Amino acid sequence: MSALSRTLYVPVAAVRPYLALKCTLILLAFDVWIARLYKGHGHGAGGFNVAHFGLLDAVQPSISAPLYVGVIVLTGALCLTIAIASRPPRALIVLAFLLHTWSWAMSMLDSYQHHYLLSIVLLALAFFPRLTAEEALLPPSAPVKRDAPGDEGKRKRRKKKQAEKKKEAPEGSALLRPFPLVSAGGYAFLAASVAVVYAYTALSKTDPEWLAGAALKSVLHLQENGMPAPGRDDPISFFRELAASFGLAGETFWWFMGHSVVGVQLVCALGYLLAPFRDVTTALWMHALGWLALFTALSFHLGAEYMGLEIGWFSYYMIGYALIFFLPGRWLVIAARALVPLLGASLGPEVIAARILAGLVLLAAGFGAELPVVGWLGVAILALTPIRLIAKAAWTREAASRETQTHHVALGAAGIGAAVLVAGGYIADLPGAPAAAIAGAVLLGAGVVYLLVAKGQARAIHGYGVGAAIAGLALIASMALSETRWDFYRNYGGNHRRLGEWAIAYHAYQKAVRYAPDDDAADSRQRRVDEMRANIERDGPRRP
Amino acid sequence: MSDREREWSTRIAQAGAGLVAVGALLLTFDVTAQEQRAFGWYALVPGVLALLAAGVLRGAADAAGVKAPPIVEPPQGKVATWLAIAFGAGLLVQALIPLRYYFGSDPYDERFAWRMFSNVRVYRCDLGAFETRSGYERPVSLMQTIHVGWGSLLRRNRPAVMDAYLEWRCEQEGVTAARLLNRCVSPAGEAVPDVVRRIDCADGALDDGEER
Repeated sequence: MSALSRTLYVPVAAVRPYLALKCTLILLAFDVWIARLYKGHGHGAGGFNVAHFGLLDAVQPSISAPLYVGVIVLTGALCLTIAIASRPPRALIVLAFLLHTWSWAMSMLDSYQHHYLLSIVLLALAFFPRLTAEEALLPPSAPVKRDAPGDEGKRKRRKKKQAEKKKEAPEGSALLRPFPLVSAGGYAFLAASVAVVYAYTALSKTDPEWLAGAALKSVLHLQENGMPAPGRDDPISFFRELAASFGLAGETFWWFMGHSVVGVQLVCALGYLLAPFRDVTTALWMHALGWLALFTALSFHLGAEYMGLEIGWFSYYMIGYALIFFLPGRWLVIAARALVPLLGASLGPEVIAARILAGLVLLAAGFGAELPVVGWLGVAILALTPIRLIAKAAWTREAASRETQTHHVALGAAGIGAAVLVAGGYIADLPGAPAAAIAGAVLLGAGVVYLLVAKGQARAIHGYGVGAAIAGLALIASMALSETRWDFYRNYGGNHRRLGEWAIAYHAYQKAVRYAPDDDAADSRQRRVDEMRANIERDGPRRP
Repeated sequence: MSDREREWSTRIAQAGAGLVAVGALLLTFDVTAQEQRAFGWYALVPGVLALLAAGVLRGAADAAGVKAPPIVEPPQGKVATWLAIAFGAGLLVQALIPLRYYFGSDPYDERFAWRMFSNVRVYRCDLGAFETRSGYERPVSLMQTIHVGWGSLLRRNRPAVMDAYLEWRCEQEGVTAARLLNRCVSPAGEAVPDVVRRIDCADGALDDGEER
């Protein structure tokens, strides 16, 4: 094998590409629904739009809020469905890439650079190895092979073979057994792509105003002397005090901060470029560099969040990638084996015990420390064990059933998935959402027909049906538990009020009142509705 | 595993680490003296590149010694070659696109250049929009004309948005010319050249110019 092949296709722990794929798709689904959807309020307002690329302006349909919302809803549903489905085809990831890319490229109103980065990530994911959870997480000596129902002889022979292998397998906790490796060119491509981002970010911060700290003061909305305006909180009080303990104060502190940002980006870039070798290298300095890159990336992105320098959910993605790329493979495998329900394989009671313990700790810590997200994560981890038991029971029953029954169950799952997705689109109560959900259901139906007619794979349909159903439910939950609809409708109303579109503003404000948070501003919101109604009675649907 | 490759890798890594240490020391002097002599970067960046070369050399050598077969084998033959070309081309494109900003003439369009929170992004700007109707130029309320998000992009001097806005105004009845004037100051409080874009609706000609 050539040096180039050894570099590009270097074996990595299978858990890394597996987690990178699943976590990106799940995070992206909720990102687009919770953090991006409401920004569609401005798309097409006043009939003005400029796409990121001139070619798009020439070929795309007239941009509007419903079109943007529809693309966003469909992108999220597709990402969640293929994250849940086992071994999704590359074509679906390419479709997610195209939809996501169009969602930001259709209008320069969306100029967040991390949306562009996520397009690159999705493109890289299309080249990732297609792995099931069992293939990525189970020890390589005990691969899980799926038998067609009714193939009793083959199954018995395999069981016998596996029992023999089990005798030879090393003793010890199932959690700690060796992990499988994969050759993943897409993973190395993704690591290098992320490194390009960090390298250019370092270059951009070598500007004299950044190195001297002036730009950072401005970004943090501080005064020229580096202190917050009277009456405002100091967003960097922690770092200021920490630096002061090392004797860095005044302007020297700002010069240090400006220079250190460049150093941080360079360490991250180098770390990502060498990350694909994390599981094969025996060089101590490379392992040390992995830890340094992890610490640096985490401190940078957590620090940015602490200082209020949020760029959408960018930090969450980068924190996730830092953990996936830089933590030792063994650590990732242990965590994933404990958390991911595996079908047709048991990792022993200690895994269930560890999972329950972790769930209880997160639940207690989350709700005790008023961090509901952590608390709900604990609830989800606690729910994993029963979900796994049900899934295993269903798997066993399904494997024993006949081919025709499998077809019925598969078609039933797809039908329920499509119905729940369409219901989610209507319950979301946003313009464009129902059409997107129907398009998603049609896509699911087309996939079912393709799998049944062209490939005869009824079993694969289950994952897409379940995925679509979960996507529909997650869409409903995202809308109900976030202020997305309130943010969308109040801004949608405001845009059209300023532009003199009274009728559209009136309907938007009515919806905004429905989804408004429970606070003291209810009267002023109702006044807006009344104002628009008065304008309509006076001028008609728009300003004369 | 090739011992020679490992040996070379170690030597290069040692040299790289030394350069990084020297660079960091020189930059520490810059920070404490509050001067931008920049010599530190000339040592630090080659040091980082040397560490990268050493890491790739060592990683590739170590990969050859992996005994456990991967559960997904690397592609072979022409597929492997074409994939390698595709990945290489993809990376090259990603590396070249930001250079459009650094070697281009427009300091304001920072898209695709990975310049999050750049100093340009935090310029404080005052934007004025004007239209000529019946021979008289008068200011336009952007808030009542266009979505507030586009106002932010105009304030950031995005050329494509400025041109599209001016062309769009020419489509409005009675408008014979339109103009945008943006005055900005840098984070350090220094005034930067004004950005002016004009359109003559008769022939659709756009002209730009920086004037002060």
